[in-house]
Amino acid sequence: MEKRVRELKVDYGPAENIYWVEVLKGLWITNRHFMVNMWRHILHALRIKAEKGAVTFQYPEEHRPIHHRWRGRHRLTVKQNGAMRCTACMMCETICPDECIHIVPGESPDPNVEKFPEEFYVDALRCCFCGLCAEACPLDAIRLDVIEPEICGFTRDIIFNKEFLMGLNNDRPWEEWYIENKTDSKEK
Amino acid sequence: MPKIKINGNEHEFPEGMNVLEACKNVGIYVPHFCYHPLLRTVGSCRMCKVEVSQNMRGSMQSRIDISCKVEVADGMEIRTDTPEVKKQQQMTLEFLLSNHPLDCPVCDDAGECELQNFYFEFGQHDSRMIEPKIKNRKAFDIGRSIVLDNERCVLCSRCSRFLEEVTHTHELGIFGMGSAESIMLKPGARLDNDYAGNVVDLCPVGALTDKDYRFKRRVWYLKSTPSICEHCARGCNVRVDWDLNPYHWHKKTFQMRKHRTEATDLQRIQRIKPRRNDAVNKEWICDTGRYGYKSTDSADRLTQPVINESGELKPVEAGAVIKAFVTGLNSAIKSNPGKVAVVVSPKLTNEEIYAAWSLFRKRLELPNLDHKLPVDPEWTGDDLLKSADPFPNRLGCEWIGFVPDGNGLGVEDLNLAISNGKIDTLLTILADPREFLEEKSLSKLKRKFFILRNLPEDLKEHVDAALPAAAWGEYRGTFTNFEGRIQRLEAAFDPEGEAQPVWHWMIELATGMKKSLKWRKTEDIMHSLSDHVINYKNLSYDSIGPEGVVVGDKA
Repeated sequence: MEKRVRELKVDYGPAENIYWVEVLKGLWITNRHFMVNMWRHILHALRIKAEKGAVTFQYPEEHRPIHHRWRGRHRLTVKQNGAMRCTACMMCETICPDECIHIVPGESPDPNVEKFPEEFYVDALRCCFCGLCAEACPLDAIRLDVIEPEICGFTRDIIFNKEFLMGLNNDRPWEEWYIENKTDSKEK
Repeated sequence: MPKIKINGNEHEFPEGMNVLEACKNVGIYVPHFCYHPLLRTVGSCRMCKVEVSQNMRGSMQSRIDISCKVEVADGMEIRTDTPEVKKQQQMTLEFLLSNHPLDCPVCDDAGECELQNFYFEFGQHDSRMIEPKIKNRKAFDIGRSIVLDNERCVLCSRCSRFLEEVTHTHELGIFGMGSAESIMLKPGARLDNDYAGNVVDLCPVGALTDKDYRFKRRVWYLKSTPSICEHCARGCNVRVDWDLNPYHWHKKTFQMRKHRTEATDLQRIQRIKPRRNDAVNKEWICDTGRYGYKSTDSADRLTQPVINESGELKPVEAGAVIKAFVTGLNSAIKSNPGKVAVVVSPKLTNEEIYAAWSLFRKRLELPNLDHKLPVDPEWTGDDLLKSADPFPNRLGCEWIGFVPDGNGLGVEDLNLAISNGKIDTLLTILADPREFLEEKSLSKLKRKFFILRNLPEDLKEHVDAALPAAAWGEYRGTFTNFEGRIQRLEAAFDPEGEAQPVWHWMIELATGMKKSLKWRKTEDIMHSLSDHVINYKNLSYDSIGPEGVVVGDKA
């Protein structure tokens, strides 16, 4: 077989050969950061100084501040009387580039509302969190603002259903919950 | 024939044609709500305005007029593109939209609504309404299958004209005046006639919607396939609107065990709509055809070949069932070919009947073949569309010759023949044997083979072996209607499970019995059919146009 590796012979000059000067410079920077941060941490821990020592976040205990344009897990918003805002117009399902939303529309239990989603599924394994569904929604019914960094932390069973997306108990149908908590919007 | 100028180009039209149709014929679409080519012209929506210039007392005079009410006359000049016309159309649209609720997100018609389409094409204005919109009745149940929403109505009166002129039942009328004018049921009436579903197709907006299609699927998801209705001998031209997504999602959520209810509709066919064919069904279909698609995905659908093993039906591979068919038929034929009876339903396409005929009559020479299933006593025809014969292809069966030969036995003789012991093997294709056999003769039969679409629970005890057949919407072919008109139907989607069209099973069965039928697709069968059956001479799929072809002695 043909030899394909070519050896390059580079002659280092005197400037490169005295590299240990740069090494010492680097060590000095590392040490300075260490000492300064250590003192800042101590002062912060003793509540003498307000701001934190370093930029590192101690993750599970400590969360990074989240930008207001964060797109996280989906959420279905509710009206003042506790009913779903969603009218199952299918705009989100239509615009979704991953086809991860599936809505089964039906006749609403509320006589003032014609249509509502009987079932609302979001397949988070397919979702690319583009946020187009929230943008297409004419009623601000779906938002991607749940701050939940580990969506599929311990399970792969992540087709979210309606109750989960509304933040309700997963085993309890929304209609039951709604009838229990129903307050007439006119009384309010 | 009068010559008129439309937007500067001269065209010739037949006498009595209105300007709207004339414009449509030359490819200029004039927006309209109330005009319908098959109904009386009323000119109530004022949307189809055009500029008409005519020679009046020696000088050309132009005016804005509604094109549906103006007949073409020699020397007339029509303009549809002037700013004045556009402004008039926009103003009409603004009036129509002034009290419209704009509940497009919950309206079933959104996507195919003419008010929506015209707003984008001709309107594009901002609303100037300061007054509150007039509220009216919403989601009002006016019949077996129709929901009325008075807020969305534009009072085009197409529905009431249809019920006056076509069905002569007069259920709907326009009541009130001015802003209180609304469409309503006449006192004591309910919209329950057999053609009620057509008012939904006629409604240009979402005022009349279908209960069956209510909230089911948005129209832009639907894919359409042209087909022919299989519910009577008329052979109405229909369009199958289908969507597989809910079906796949249902399976997925079912597998994930996240589903709560069985609310998800498993139907792949979402709705049936008529296609225009003036020679057959104009633009109407009856409610039986419109809502009769549900057997395709019903719960009793047979999707796997089944075989009876010690009193219990077990799903097996198709090869095992074919083998059972072949050994059963062969042993019966070896003793006496007259001991086998084959009954097909006239719901089969011409190609399927021809494939069955080629196998059983031409190759195996069985005498007892028949298709004359008894008509359901509840079925009644009428003089508009519904034929007295509920089978779509009875004439095709007769022409191809799927009838008992010389001394063979027909369907009506089977009961007696079975009790005498003359027949001990029965093969039925798409037919429920209880329709023509008594319970005791059915249990007396030695071998009972079926090719079925649906296997009801109470038929299971009688089945020895059954093959699943493709249901309506899953196969292609041709039907011959009662007047000898041959029309094509297309497959919308693949057959469910292991189901196959009947012609496919016939070929498999022929291969199993060492009688080869060398066809690969329905075109091959059609080719062979046109060679061998006199009425189908020189016929191919390409020669059957969108209106169908009338052949035979009725042509």
